[in-house]
Amino acid sequence: MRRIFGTHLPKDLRMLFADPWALLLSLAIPLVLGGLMSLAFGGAGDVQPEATVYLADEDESLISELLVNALASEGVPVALFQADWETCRAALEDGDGSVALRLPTGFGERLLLEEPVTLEVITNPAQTVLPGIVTGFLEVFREGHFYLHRLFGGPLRLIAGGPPEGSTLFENAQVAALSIQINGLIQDVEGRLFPPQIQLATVPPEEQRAFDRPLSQLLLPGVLVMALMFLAQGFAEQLWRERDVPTLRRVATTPWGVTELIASKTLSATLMLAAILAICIVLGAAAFDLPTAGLVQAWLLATFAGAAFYLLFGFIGSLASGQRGANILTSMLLFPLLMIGGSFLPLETMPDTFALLGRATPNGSVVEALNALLGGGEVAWLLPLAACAGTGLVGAVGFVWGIRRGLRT
Amino acid sequence: MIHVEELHKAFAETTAVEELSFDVQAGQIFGLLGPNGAGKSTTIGCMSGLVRPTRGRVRIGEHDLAREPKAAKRLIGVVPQEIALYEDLSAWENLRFFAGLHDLYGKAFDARAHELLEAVGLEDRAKEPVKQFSGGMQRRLNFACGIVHHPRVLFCDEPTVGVDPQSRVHLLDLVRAERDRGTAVIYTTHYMEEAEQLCDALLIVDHGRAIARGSIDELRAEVGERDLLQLSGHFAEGVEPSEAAIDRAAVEALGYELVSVEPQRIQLTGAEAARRLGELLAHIQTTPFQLEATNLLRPSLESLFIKLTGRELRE
Repeated sequence: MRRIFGTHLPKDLRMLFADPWALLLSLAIPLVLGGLMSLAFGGAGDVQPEATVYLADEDESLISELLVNALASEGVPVALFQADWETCRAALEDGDGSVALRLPTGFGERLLLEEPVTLEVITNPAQTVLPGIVTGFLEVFREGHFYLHRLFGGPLRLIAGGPPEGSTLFENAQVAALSIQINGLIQDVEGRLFPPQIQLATVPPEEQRAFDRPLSQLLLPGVLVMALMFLAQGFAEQLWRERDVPTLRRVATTPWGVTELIASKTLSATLMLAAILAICIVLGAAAFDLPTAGLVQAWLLATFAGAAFYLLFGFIGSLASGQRGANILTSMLLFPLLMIGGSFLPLETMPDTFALLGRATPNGSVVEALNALLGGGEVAWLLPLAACAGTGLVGAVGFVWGIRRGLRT
Repeated sequence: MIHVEELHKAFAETTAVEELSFDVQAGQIFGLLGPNGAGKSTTIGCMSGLVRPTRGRVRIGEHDLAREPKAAKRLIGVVPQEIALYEDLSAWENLRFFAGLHDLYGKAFDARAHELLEAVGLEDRAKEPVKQFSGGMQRRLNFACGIVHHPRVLFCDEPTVGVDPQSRVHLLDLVRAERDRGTAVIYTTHYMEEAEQLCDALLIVDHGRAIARGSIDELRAEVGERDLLQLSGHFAEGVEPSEAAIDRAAVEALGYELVSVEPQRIQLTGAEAARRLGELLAHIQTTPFQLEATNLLRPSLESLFIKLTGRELRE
């Protein structure tokens, strides 16, 4: 142990820190991947898309104000800006905003009289979904107006006609008559409208329940595993520095030789992985507002997986005759594992057969466990721990064998 | 101290080492001499546990290398042909690393490191990264790392390749110092004069086979007082280079022995060859060989090697 901790490890760490740019790059890989994911999927996922509406209310009536307030009310995904029609048009022409809407003079009166009225709407062709929110809202408004007239058309037209000539106010008798008429109409339809005959219950299909978290949070474990696998591949390739120099051959002539060298290299790579993963998990937890309960366990599992993959990539790389060949060989293993193991696409979105296969891979089982840990769910420890231990064991035996084989030929 | 018995190493289609047997005593520098590709480095690899021999035995001290590799490896130090140092580390850190692999730590290491750095002339640059060193300085440190743990057997695989004359003299002195300390040194080289200056005993190898062995004096005696004469030129068009083409019997009658006949060179040995050169050249003029230049070598290991193989060491 003294040789590993007192001789090999200080040398390996010293060599890692001798190349600060490579070290910074190691740290940058997961941060860049995480940052890109944040940008692509909207960080913690609590940012809702909003349609930007430029509205020109030229009517300024009670009815047009009701429509404006409805658009601006809470829960409607619309950011509303009011201006004159020319400004609204100009904003849309500049590509700014989703919709420009013009409420013309006489809009309110014509609605009450059920006379034709045209709303001028300009949509932004660069946006496909957001303008639809506004046009859909206006469609509902038009339908509502139709049914309102079917129910209360008479009183509405009466109100639109205004007080009798020579008077500024409705007479008491007219108001009472309107009230009685409206009340009668409500009593007529009450039995059919209340209580509502249709109950709305939203039940997501079984396979969609996993999306109870934003997509970015679902992808985080996969991205973490992707980062640790890239790091493990990079650290494993550093052994070629010893093969090329060739200090490895010299070390192999000492009594404990290759076994100690690989043990030490694995230890130093694991320490570096642990440090980098700690930073990434803390930053990820802050960015995605994750529960803190499982963070330490997630860190330990990710580090363990990183060590196992370091050994596996070391083994695969040792079968090559040069660093370039080693990189090609390990990449041929790395990318299919990443694809099927839930790093590029969440396992939950894959077809059942692929998802099953993905969960059975060492990295896929770790992704699944990290998903549960970072989401605050129950973790099935056996599979990821066994998969990592198996990978590490095969990697360690193969790595020592591969290096010895390379030295002897 | 070292016992090698019928050592044989074959790769897929080539035989690198063929049935080599020899012994090296403590306090002896044993030279393995041969051209590039003769099998010297493979032999060192087999003896240091780096290359697994196809068959044969290697014993280091009392330990069989195949059966007790750890015990045998405790006794050895290796100075490889390539510079095997960590260039991001300092000279001191490199020494500490290789000493640590042999469990040499603390004050014992500090004392040894100071002693070695002084011996190789690097004490004032001990803390500098090795990548800032010149080639000669790296070669000297490369040597120091091989002996930092006081090995009883030292393998030096062409340690002076590519070094400046000053560093070369320095390195040869260090090898002699190890020998004087009682270390058994195996020294491979293709520099004939280096072997003559340094080695107590020699094994000359070519194509993995031993072609001559003995002390420097014994090998010189094998050459005798015969000079080596090299005639450069070419044969007339359409004439096949052969001993018959230059009339072997006539050459031998002049007191020369034919070593090799090649398209552009004829090599012969003969006692006091310079004195009878005129007669030989007169005969050569009667043959289809068009002579362009002559080269006369006095008796040496180089001429022995040429006599034995027909080739020069550096070919």
